[in-house]
Amino acid sequence: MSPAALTITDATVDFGAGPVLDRVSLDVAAGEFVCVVGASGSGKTTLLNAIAGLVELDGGTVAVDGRQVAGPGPDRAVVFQDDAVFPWLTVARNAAFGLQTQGVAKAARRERVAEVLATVGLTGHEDQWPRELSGGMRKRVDLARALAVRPPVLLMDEPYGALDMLTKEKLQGDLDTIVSHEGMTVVFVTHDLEEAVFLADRVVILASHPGRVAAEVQIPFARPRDPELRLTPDFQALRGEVLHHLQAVAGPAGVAA
Amino acid sequence: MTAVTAPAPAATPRARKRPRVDVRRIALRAVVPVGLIALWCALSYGDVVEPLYLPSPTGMWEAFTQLRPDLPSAIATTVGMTLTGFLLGTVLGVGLGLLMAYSATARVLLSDALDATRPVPVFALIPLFLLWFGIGRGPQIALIALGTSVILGVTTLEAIRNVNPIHVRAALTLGATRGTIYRRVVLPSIFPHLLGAIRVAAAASWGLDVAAELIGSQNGLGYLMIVRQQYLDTAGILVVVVVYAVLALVLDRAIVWLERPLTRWTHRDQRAGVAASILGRA
Repeated sequence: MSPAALTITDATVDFGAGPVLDRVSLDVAAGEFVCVVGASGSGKTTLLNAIAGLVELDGGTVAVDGRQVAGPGPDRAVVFQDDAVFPWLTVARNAAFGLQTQGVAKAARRERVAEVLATVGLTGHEDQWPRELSGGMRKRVDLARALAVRPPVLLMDEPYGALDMLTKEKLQGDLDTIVSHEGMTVVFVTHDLEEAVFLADRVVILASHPGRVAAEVQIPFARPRDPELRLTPDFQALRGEVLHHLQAVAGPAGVAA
Repeated sequence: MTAVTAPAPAATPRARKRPRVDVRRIALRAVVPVGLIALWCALSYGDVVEPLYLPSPTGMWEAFTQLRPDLPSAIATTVGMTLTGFLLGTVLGVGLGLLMAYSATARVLLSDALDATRPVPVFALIPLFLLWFGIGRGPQIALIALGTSVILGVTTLEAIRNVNPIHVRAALTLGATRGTIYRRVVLPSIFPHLLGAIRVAAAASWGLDVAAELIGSQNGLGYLMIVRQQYLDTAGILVVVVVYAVLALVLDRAIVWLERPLTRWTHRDQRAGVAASILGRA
């Protein structure tokens, strides 16, 4: 395996009512796609926010490429669960936001925006307002904005949770294609096990109260993957394995499969 | 770079169906205004109500022609005073709101004072203004500015409190500094709310002007109204009221026209009246 792009060591978060995360340690290799699953209350979103620097750690460290990080930054760009597209900016200006905060010159900015919009399939929509786009397309804008700054680690927090199944599968397929070709390092939080197994090289199962790493399942399929993979017995067997781990730590009532 | 296939372009919302001319709707809309005018004519020409209480349309026209020589300078005075007070108050109110949003120190310093003075009716301060600043344009403009700034200061703070946290978090993770977030997330977010408040404040500033002129002025529409009142000239008073209404309408339309290019991104056009269209189909 390549060296770790992201190293989480003993991450502990406590909002005052007992730890939400209890000494979570996780190494993500460069180019690896890790999905984090867990029942509600397992702290998977808190873990992502802690990596992003949006939640302060009460113990432990987060390091990107060996450098310890504190606070949010474009080296860990986030695609959020909620619609986070800036409604007052056009599609192209949304995609350019991070480049602008990084002080990228105008010409380079324009070039990168065109490139990244092509990547997510939004060419031709540059001058549209977010309100003119569907939910799925707004998610593409979110992704484009995060990809534009070339983050060493991309964080995604149930980004497709609110979408219909067909849109979701299309976006999953596109994401798989993009991050596989770019060799990106991704941490992706979801409660959808099929999504997790389809996207990930490795699925990490969190136990609840407090959140901690309970188990890991390696997903050996080569990426990018064929959507039809979901229908194969091997795929379903892995999905079942993840489900069993989850049931073991959360009890069947806490599982949203 | 790999490209994924582009989804079909979304239908543009601009391509809306041209509304048909709806005769029934136009007739329905005319019922209340035409009815009111008919009632007015019947009551005034039929001598049901004395002209002192309700002048007739012709009475008002006569009052208008009589007042016409005085109107230009009165309008100039009133418009000058109201706009000055309104603009000063807007700058002051929005400025204070923005300052309090940006600086915690300013917030601690000012918020209690603002909260304490907010419920005080501005009109209740008129005697004090007279005492402190005397009679003249200065105190009148100050009164309008004060009333306007309170409305806008409070709305600005409220709008900033309502900025969607997800947008702030997204900006943070994209490397935005506090100043960048303020300029590129907070300001555009609050803009539509501010413009709504500016319209409310503009409407209020005409009312404040009437009150300000009543406390002692030598010129202006409000002053003209007091004079007409002394002559028991109800028609003249009504003419001034109509002039005020027209001025307020013009200012309101001007603000709407000025804001349009700045709020193109909002949903307002598309979503206007969704609730009403469902609830009140009949």
